[in-house]
Amino acid sequence: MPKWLFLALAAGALRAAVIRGVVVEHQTGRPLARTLVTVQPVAGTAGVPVSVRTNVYGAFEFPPLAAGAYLVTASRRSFAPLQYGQKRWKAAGVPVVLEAAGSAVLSLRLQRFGSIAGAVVDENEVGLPEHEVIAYRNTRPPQLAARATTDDRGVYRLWGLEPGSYLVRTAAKKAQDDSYLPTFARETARVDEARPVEVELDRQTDDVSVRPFPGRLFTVTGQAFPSPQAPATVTLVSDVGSQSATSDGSGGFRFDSVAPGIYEIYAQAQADRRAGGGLQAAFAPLVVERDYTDVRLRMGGLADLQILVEDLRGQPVDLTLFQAMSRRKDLSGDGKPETLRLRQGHAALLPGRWELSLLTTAGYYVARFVGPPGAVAERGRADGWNEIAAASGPLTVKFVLSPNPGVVRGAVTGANRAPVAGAPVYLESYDPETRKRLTDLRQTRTDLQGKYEFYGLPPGNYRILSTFEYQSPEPAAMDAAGAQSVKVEEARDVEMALALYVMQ
Amino acid sequence: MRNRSLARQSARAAAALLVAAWLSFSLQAAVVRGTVVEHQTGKFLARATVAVQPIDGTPGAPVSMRTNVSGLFEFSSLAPGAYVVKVTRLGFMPVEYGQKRWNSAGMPLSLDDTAPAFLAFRMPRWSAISGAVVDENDIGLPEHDVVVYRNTRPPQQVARTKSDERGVYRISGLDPGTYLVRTAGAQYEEGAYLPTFGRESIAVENARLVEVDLDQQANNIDVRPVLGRLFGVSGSVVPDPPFTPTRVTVATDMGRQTVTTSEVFQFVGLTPGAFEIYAEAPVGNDVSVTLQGAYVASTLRADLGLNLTLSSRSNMAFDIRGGPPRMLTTDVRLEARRKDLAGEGEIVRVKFTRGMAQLAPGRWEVRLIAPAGYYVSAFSGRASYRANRARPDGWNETLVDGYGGIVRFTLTAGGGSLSGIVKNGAEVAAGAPVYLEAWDADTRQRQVDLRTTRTDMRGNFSFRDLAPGAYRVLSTFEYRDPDSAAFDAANPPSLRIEAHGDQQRDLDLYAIR
Repeated sequence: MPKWLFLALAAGALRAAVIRGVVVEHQTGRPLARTLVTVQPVAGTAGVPVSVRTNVYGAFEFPPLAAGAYLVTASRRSFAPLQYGQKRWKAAGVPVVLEAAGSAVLSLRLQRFGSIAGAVVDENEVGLPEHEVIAYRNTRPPQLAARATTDDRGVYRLWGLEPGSYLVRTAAKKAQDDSYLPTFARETARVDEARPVEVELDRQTDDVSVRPFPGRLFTVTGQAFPSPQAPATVTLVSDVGSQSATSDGSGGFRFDSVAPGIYEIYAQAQADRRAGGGLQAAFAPLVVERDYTDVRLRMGGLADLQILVEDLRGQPVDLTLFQAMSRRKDLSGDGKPETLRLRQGHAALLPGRWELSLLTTAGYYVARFVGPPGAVAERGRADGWNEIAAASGPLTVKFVLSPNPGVVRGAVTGANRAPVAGAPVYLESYDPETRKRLTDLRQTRTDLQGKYEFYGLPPGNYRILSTFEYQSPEPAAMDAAGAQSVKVEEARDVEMALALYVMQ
Repeated sequence: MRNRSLARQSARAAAALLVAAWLSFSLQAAVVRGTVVEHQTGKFLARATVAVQPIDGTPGAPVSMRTNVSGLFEFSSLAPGAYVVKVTRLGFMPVEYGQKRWNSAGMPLSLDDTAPAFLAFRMPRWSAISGAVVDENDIGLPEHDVVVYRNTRPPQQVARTKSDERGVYRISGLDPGTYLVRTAGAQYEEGAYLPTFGRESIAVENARLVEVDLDQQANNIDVRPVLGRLFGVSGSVVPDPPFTPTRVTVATDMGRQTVTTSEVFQFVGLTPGAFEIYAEAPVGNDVSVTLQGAYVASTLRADLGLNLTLSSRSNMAFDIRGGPPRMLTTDVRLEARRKDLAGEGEIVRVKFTRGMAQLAPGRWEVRLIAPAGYYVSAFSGRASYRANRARPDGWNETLVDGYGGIVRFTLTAGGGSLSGIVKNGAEVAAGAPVYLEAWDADTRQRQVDLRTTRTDMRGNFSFRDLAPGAYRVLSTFEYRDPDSAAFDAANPPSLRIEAHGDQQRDLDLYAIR
């Protein structure tokens, strides 16, 4: 090895910084072996994210790192992920700042997710076994968060819950001659009268018992008619979840123990391969107030969604530069966003209600959305989610792009007016009249010099906040933190100096 | 006028007869009422099912009812006689009136018309085992499969669950007895854990024994799985038509895993060693063929990829010879259970379609329940290597592989019979359970499943259509389903049944002193 190379390597090694530490269970202090610990350099710091696992004593040490600022996270199955420096759950992590040849020794304490425990009991307080219990986030409509089944004593335990407010409900149940209606804790059929259950990290909320109402449940049976005959997956959706069944050889399907209420019913099956394969599907609304024996789902081809993208002058823009997203919208709420797999601007959509969104590059923003009659842009902003109804046949939507987005940039300073490296900055598109958030929150972190930048912004009103207090602040948190208002105009850069917000 | 008077007299006579009949019936009706409560707490058990079954010689049919919200029940118009009374409710162990222990047979309840009987049932819960799956620092391992086996050789899987996020598990619904607890193999991002018996043993011989009793939970049965290397079996299924939902099962000596797929499957967390994999799917468009399947038996030494092409040509067909003239397939009952490395599977009734019955590929045990007046005298099937020493009227092992083939049962008329009277001292024992065990005195093993009956009101019992061979017969309330060891302990009489032979044998009721 040349002498100069050896000296350079030795100097580099001498000047390298080190992060080491230990990960323990918060409640007991026991070491957590095989925990994944990751360092992510803040913009401006050399290097790439690196991960290591703790040893049997919970200890970890990263290979030598360049001087700079790093976000450190630790995760292990069944524990809430932790960012170093978090003040509390859902607060943002604080970067570890390392001088050349500096070292940091971190002690990371992982907390467990919250849980809810209780029993499903009858009128004599005797536990009801094999009863399904569901935890919902206390939202409207309630969002399914976890499921459990009672044991032989009627006891259940719902776990893996993020801190927050929940509702607990038993599912409909038919057993021998008895049938029980879905019932919220402690004993109500109405969501508005349900008992909210508060959940915290490292804590189990006990004695959340439910006494389900005896009552009449219904059966929904029918036939799906795919062509050619093939097993169809039929899904029955209500505002509190869904259940699926597979049709038999003659297309028959059956749902037992269906509580009275409003439902949507979906069916899908493989289409004839000779006709190009893919899927065939059907969709129908259904109000259950009696036994149904004749639900007929005539299955057809999927909606042939064509997405057109053009600029303000009506000239087509290459769609492959962007990412089109979709999410299903049904009675149980919004589905998971997924990237649409487009072929020459076309994609197949199952029948039903959908929301579409286009993720543009920094040089554009979505100025307008044109859909079929009835299409609705989320709170009037085309750069958010746009709702459409899909049925078998062609369906065309158009995103109109403007090449003149605005930019918001600036620097974040701390108490001593020093720039804050790695500080989270949140940008919220905001309607000052309705005082509502218009699209999903945008966020970034400052670089080593405390600078941040948001590109590709549609014109409009925004609020901006830099803080370590939250990971994804709600509008109420933005209000409380005194987020600054900013107006973005086409093709204009706005300079905003921000003072780091710290909760007193 | 005279006619009208005669008519009035006839009507009065008829009414008097009706009243007399009603009165005599009311006077002769027996009443049984009672309560059902939870054994541990005394809480009322609403909607428990109470069934009364008259023993032979007592008029009437079995009847059942549900307890009310206060746990009360009442049967108000039973004929005087003797009844077996049984109570069931989901989550509780069934209880019979007069049981000495949980696995004893119920005593008959004698009812007359002089006074109502009042019964108080206390229902115990099944046993349970709980504990945690922990790592080397006693930190719970979440979502780790935990399996409970009966402490037999090979161990028999009885229940399976998953640990929660704290690593805590609980398995309920267990009969009292001795068990082994074992974690399944698990592959995680951070490493793999080998199947490990509690507390920390790979070998079954060093496994911790767990005793459980009724209404009790054995706590702190923790397992610390050993870190190691695991393998997987993955691949695709090719049913006809494509994408037909297919059940794929992998079996090892420590249990089964099943998935339903229409295309690909994956089993992870398997230890090196012998395994069997079988796939089964319905056939939709052919009324004469109902099943398609595939079967592979091999040894796992590394991660393995498999394509399972399902075929209905490899199905086994059934042929029944002998039997009554113009016998219909509905006159017999054909049963089958999977026999794989994990042991014996669930018993299923095999249906005949156009006179044919089929089994999907794999190892099976089959038995034929003969029509009245006949017994199964012979069995032949592919690879029926156990048939030589097993009795054809019991379970017969056969292999269904890629070559199909025919399984044949032969029915013969003129089975033997056994009858007699059971006495308890000088008295006849009414409603006493009588157990008949087909028994090989040389190997000292039970040959076919135990046959059970109860004596009638005069203490008579009988078994008919018995295949020729050696038997042991026992009458006792001590057991509901005595195993061979219980027979040994009771030292019952041995006897030999011959074809066309009618053997008379009186029995003394056995009781443990």
